[in-house]
Formats: sequence, C-alpha cells, structure tokens
Amino acid sequence: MKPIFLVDDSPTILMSMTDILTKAGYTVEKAANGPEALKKAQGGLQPALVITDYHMPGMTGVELIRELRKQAGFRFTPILVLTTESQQDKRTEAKSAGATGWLVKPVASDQLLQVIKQVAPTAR
Amino acid sequence: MFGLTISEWLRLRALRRLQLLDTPADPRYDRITNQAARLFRVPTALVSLVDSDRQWFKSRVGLEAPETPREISFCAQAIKGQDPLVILDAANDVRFANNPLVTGAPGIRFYAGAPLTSCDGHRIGTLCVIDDKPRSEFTDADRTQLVRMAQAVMDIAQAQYLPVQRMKTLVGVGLGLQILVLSLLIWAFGSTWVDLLGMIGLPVPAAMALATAGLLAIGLAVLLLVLEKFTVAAAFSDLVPKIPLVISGESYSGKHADEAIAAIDEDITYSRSCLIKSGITEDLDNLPSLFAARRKHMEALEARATSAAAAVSDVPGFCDVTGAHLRTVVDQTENAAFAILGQLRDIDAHVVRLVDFIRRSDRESTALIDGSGESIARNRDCIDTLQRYLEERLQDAMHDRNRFSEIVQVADGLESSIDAITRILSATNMLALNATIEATRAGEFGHGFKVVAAEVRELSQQTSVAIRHVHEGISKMRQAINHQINGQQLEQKVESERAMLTGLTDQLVGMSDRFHGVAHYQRSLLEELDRAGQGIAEVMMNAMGQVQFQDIVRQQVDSILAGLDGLRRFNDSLAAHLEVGGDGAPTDLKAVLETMTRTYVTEVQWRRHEEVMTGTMGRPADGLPAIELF
Repeated sequence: MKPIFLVDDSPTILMSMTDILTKAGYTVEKAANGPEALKKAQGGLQPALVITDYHMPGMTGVELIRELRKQAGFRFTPILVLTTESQQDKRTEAKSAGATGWLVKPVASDQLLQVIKQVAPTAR
Repeated sequence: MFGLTISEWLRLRALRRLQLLDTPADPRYDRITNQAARLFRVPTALVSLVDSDRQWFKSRVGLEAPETPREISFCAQAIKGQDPLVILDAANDVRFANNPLVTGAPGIRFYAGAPLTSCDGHRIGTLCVIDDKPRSEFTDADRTQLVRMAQAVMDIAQAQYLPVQRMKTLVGVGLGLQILVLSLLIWAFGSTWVDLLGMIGLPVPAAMALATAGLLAIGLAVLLLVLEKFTVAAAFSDLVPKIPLVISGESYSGKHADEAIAAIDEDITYSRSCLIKSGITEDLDNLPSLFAARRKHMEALEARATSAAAAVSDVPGFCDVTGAHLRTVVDQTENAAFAILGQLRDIDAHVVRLVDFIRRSDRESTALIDGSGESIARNRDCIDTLQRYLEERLQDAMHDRNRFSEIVQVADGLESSIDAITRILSATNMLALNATIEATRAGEFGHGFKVVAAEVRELSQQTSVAIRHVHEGISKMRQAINHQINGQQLEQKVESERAMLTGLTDQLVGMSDRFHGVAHYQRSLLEELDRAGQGIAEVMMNAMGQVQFQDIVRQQVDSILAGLDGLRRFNDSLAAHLEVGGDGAPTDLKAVLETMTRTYVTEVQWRRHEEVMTGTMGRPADGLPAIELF
C-alpha cells in the first residue's frame, strides 16, 4: 500500500484531490505546506508519488523537491507539480530541481489519473 | 515716484539711458521734424519723449512749449501700441474730445504719432505730426513713412548712445597705454628675450616681431575684455535711473532692481506660458489681466489640490473595503467549494448505493428468470395431472352410469315383482274379505275361520303398505340414479372442466411469457441504470476536479490584493505629494503595476493585462502544454 502524497496549501485542492484519488482506489497522505511535507517525509513516509503545489507559504514546491531529492527514500520517487503557475522559467526550474512533470490547474480528473497511472504504476 | 509698473520702470530706464532728456536741440532731429512737417503738410511735428510725468520735446516744429504734462499727452497714448496712433479729428474722438490741447490751445484736431521703439523694445516716445485742422484720411503709405522716420530718429538716438562712445574712448586709451607698457618692457628685457628666442632657432628680428605681436594681441584681447566688462558696467550703472523700484512694498535699486525685474520677467513669461497651456483664453498681454487670470488659475489649482487631497484620503478606506470584499469572495468560494465537495461526496455515496442496488437487483432478477422456468414447468405438470385426473374421473363416471343403469334395470324388474305382489295382495285381501263373509254365514263353525280371514286380511293390508314403501323407495332410487347417470350432463361438466383447465394452462403460459418479458425489460433497465450510475460517477469525479477553480480564483484575487496594496502605497505617496510643503514625487504607478505582474501565476492574467495595456511585459510564452512530463 504505497500512498500518494499530496502537498498543497489550498484546503479545497487537498479535499478535492483526496476525493478523486480515494474514489479511484488510491490511499492518500496530505500536507498543507513544504515544511510539514518534509517532516512527514523524514518521519518515514514512503509514497509512490508526490503531487505538490508550486506557490506555498514558507517554501515553494520546487524548494520542497530539492529537499526531498536529498533524501535517499525520495531519490527516485516521481514528483508532479500541480500548479496554476504558467511561466516557462518556473517549469525549467522545477525540471532542474528533479520534478517528474508539470500540471497546470485545472487538470481534468481523468487526465490526472492517467498521468498518475503512467508515472506511478505502483501507487495504491 | 512710487508704484511704477515694471514695464513703465523699464521703459523709463530705456529712455534715460539714451540721455536725451533736457539736452539742447540737435539739428539731426530737427531735420527729421522739418521733413515730416513738410511731407505730411502739417504745421507741427515733434520728437516727443514720454517721461514719467511729462512729455519733453527733443525737437519741435510749430510748437513753442518744450514740454507738456503727460496726463493730457497724445503721445502718452500713442506709445501704448506698436502701431502709429492716428486721430483724424480729435474733436470727434471720445478719447480726446475733452482734452485741453483739443478744446484750448493749440487746438489739436489731427494727430498721427509713430512710437519711438528702442532696440530692447521699449516705446520711449513718438515722432508725431499735428494739425489744427481735421484730416479725412491718413493712408497706409503715410503710416509707413511716419514709422520709417520714427526709426530714423531712434537710429540717431542709439548711434550716439553715450556708453558705447565712452567705451570706445576708454578702449583707445587702454590700447595706447598697452603699447607704451609693452614697448618699455621690450626695451628693458629686449636682449634677454632675443637670446631666448634665438635658443629655439627663430631668426631674432622675426621672432622678436612675432613675440611682440603675439604679446600685443593677447594683451589687447585681455584689456578689451576687462574694459568691456568693467567700463561698460560702470557706464550703465551711472545711467540707471535713480528711481527705486517698489515691488510689493519692497524697494529695489541698482543691481537688485535688475535681478528683481529679471525674476519678475521670467515669472511673467512662465506664468503666461502656463496659462496658455492650461487653455486660459483671457488677454494675457495685459499684466493686470494676466495676474488676475493667474490668481484665478492658482486658486482653482489650489482648490483642486485641496479636493484631490481630500479625495485621495478616502482611497485607503476604499482599498480596505475592496480588499475585505475580495477576501470575502475567497472565503465564500472556499466555503462553496467545500460545500460542493461535500455534496458531491453525498451524491457519490447515493450513486454507489444505487449502483450496488442495481447490480443486486440484476442478479436477483436473473435468478428469478431462471427460477420462473422451473415453476412454469411445474405448473404445466400440475395441469397435465389435473387433466389426467379429470379423464379418469370421466371414465369412472361412465362406469358408474353403466352400473347404475343395471341397477335401474334390476329396480324395474323389482317394480314388476312389486306389481305382481300388489295384485296378489289385492287378491288375498279380496279372498280374506270373501272368507270373512263366508265365515259369517257359517256361523259358529266359521268363527275361527273368520278370525283367520281377518288376520290374513290384516297381513295383506300391512304387506300392501310395506310393498308401497318399497315401491316408493325404488322409484326414488331410480329417479336419483337416473338423475345421476344422465350422460349428457356429465359430459358437459367434464368438457367445461377440461376447457377451464385448458384456459388455466393458456393463462399460465401467457403469464410465464409476460413474466419473461418483464424480467428481460427489467434487466435491460438495470443495465441502463448501471451505465447511468457509472456515468454520474465519472461526471462527479470531473466535478471534483473542477473544484480546483477555487484555488485559481484565490491566487488571482491574491494578485489583485497585491495590486491594491501597491495602489495604496501609491496613494500614500500621492497624498504626501499633494500636501502643502509635502516633498517627493508620487510613486511610479507603472512600477506598482509591474510589482503586481510579478504575482501573476496564470496565463489568463497576463493575457488580460496585455489586453488592457498595450505592449508585452515579459509575459510567459504562449501555448505551453497544460500537462508536461519531463
């Protein structure tokens, strides 16, 4: 049972994503910001996939990715950035930080699930 | 001499610089006045200089008085305009009809005066021609001629401009002194100088001449410069009128007056250009109206600044309210999003239950369809059994009828026996009666016989009754049997029962078919419902995804809030700027807008921005895919 780890400061996003993923049969872990996510990661959480927002208070999604990639358990974990941010330089920044993909909100549920199936087939 | 207008002060200064007032007659001017008198065929021609309180005539033809008061002067009026003042008949002119010079001596009727304009633009007086007879016309050519002659007067006046002459004299003296000093120097240090020049290889006489010329030229230039600066200034300072210039209760004289005038002049030029720029249409050449217009304009500006300051003081409140509204929008959309998600969850739960129910019902209906076949077959078996039972019962009834017929035949046989017995009993009764009669005749001897006969008769009667009972019993039995064994009735009954059974069978088969139909319909209905349920689940999943809009709205509103903050800062700086004595320029609103763009996250924000503002502002590239896997 490897969960999907959602990191977003928007409670509505957390709630809707949780609903979608749970309905699709996945288990979900949540964090409302970067530091909280790091704490959970350091506490031994081993998700099959991380989906993080870009703009969050305290730490951006890309900074979180950099921190996560430093941890052995997250070196190869796929990480998707789900954000409203549309600028190319931010994407490039995310890519070089080790992100697996970039999704611009709003993403249709079926497309999201398809991407998840593609990048994290072991997630349950 | 207080309260001179600046222009008048300047004009008087220009007049006095020329140093013509109260000087002896000059034939050069007289030639011109004489020429003018002849040319325009008038008795009087004057070069009139308009002083502060009088007009003084530098040259006059046909007039004795050297000066007249300024108040009644025609020339004082003529210098107000650039063009010549021409009065064809002063008696008919409202401005001059009551002038003592018109009503009394010298009885002026015709007047034409061209202003004498100095090289720096001041009208110091006029060249005028006067007649005691009115004129009918003064042509343009006459005017031109008069203006030219006035220019000639000024040419003479300015050519003998004293400071220039004085300067020239001084320069001449200076030059002589220079040459003298240099000659002495060369004589004193000549040999050393020649040696020095010889050392650098120049032939001595040429070098000496060259050096002397060079030194002379340099010395001359320096001297000229010095002379020009000091001597001319000294000359002018002597000439500046000693009238103090009073501006706004403050006296200025000499250099300070010049500075004050320059400042005022600059201010007037600036004010005029400002007023023109502001679209003020009043007469701005006239200083009082210019100042009045400026005061009005300043007051209007001040009032506008005050109202603007009052207006901008409301902006922070406006920003606060707008910001609060926007934050409420975010809160409300968040609550709405939660509510939508909650309702979607409820709907989902209902749909899940519905789909479960539908699937369960589908299984049950399948089982029912499968089970219904067996029960119909069982029903058919039952009906077959019933039909067989009915056939058997018919057979039994036939048998019974035959047996009953036999019984009836036996009963019929018994009937004839009963008839025979009845006849026998009737004969026996008759015999007994006859025996009794005979016994009675026999008397005593027949007494016993009589008893026997009576007994026989009694027996016979009793037997007759019994036989009647038997007969009745047999009749009833036969009737009953006949009724029972009536074949037609029985067959009809059997047939009707058979028809009833067939109808029942048909009904059962029909029911079974209908049940099958209903079951299949129900099944397809359930399948359809199942598909619809799955469709609803998918739509709901998408609806859950669409709730992301709230997060997008939140971030867009955050941008607007950042913009509002910037606007507020801009307003603060504007308010400080508008305050009297406030310093600094207001914040650059473009910079505020640029700060706001840094908070843009969605492409649509950039697009909207560019739709409103022309030009790009480092916006992200268009057409990036919404999903990109690296």
